[in-house]
Amino acid sequence: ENLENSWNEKMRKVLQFATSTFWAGCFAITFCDFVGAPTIIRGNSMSPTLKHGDVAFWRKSRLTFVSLFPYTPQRGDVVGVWSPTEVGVSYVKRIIGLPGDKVTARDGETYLTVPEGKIWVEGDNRESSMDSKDWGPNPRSLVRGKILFKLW
Amino acid sequence: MRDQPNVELKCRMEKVKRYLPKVGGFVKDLLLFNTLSALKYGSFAYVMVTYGGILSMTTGSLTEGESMTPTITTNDMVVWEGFSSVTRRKRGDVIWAWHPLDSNKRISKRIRGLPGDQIKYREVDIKTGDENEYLVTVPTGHMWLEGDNHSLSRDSRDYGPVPLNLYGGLIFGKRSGNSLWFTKLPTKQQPTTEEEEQKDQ
Repeated sequence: ENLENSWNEKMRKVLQFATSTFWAGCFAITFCDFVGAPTIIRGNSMSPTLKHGDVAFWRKSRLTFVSLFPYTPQRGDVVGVWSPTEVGVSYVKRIIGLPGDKVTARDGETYLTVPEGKIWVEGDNRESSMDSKDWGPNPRSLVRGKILFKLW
Repeated sequence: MRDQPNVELKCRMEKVKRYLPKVGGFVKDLLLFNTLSALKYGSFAYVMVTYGGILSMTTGSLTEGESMTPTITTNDMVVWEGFSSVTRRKRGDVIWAWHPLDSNKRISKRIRGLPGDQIKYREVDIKTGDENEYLVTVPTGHMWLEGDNHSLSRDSRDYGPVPLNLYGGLIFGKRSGNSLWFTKLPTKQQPTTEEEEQKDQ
């Protein structure tokens, strides 16, 4: 009988731990969506600002059901953007041009004007590939979120 | 005898002094409990609705507008699921996606083209009245969306192919304003009369 009691005790504790973790998890996910979450940077296209392996804190720019603080892109913002050509892939770049701005293409000579509803992003690292110099101006909705600050 | 009212008042004050901390404590506990419960169940609800992914019902922005009539009208409530954004992309699917140019708006359209498809569409030029035919190849990583209501819908014919990364969810059923039941959405566009398509400016 004592053995069974202690087993019940253990089960109770395990269940308690499991439910607490579950509620904590729900809260954490909600917190991450509304306040922000850390993320690991990969690649060096944003160096020296953000290097491979750095941890940055970012905030989603929009939520599926709630519209709390709609994000307006600003020049200079470091943002996470979905790739326009690779599904499921996103990059961290800086917003260089907003609609109406004139930007230079990769050759350094051709100028284009960023059309309405789109943005021009580039990596801080001059040699970075895979930004607007390759894709052209990106639809604004591709912005996933804004990097708020670097953690370490 | 003159002291009577004062004594009564004093008695009342004593009682208040004794019970206020208890009431205060009770209220504080109640507030704390309610806040914690609210956070607990609120965050659970948020996670289920946003990520539970299996079923989410939305009215409002996804059914507003006339672009998907008669398949979806403003009185309808639609059911969508979030798994398909990763697993399935088929021509003929009705999906919701983020509006490419207005980042907080969502659109519901039918997928007409996938990467590599050749899309032909006609538009009437308002100024000349000529009907022009356009041919577009859907680039990698994009899809071509069109609303079922060709004349009123603003879709890829206006803003071009939409990146697949903006795919939100697959709309697979709807419930009309009056009925109780949900019905499956047709995978093929219902036949409409060939009307002249005009771009409304």
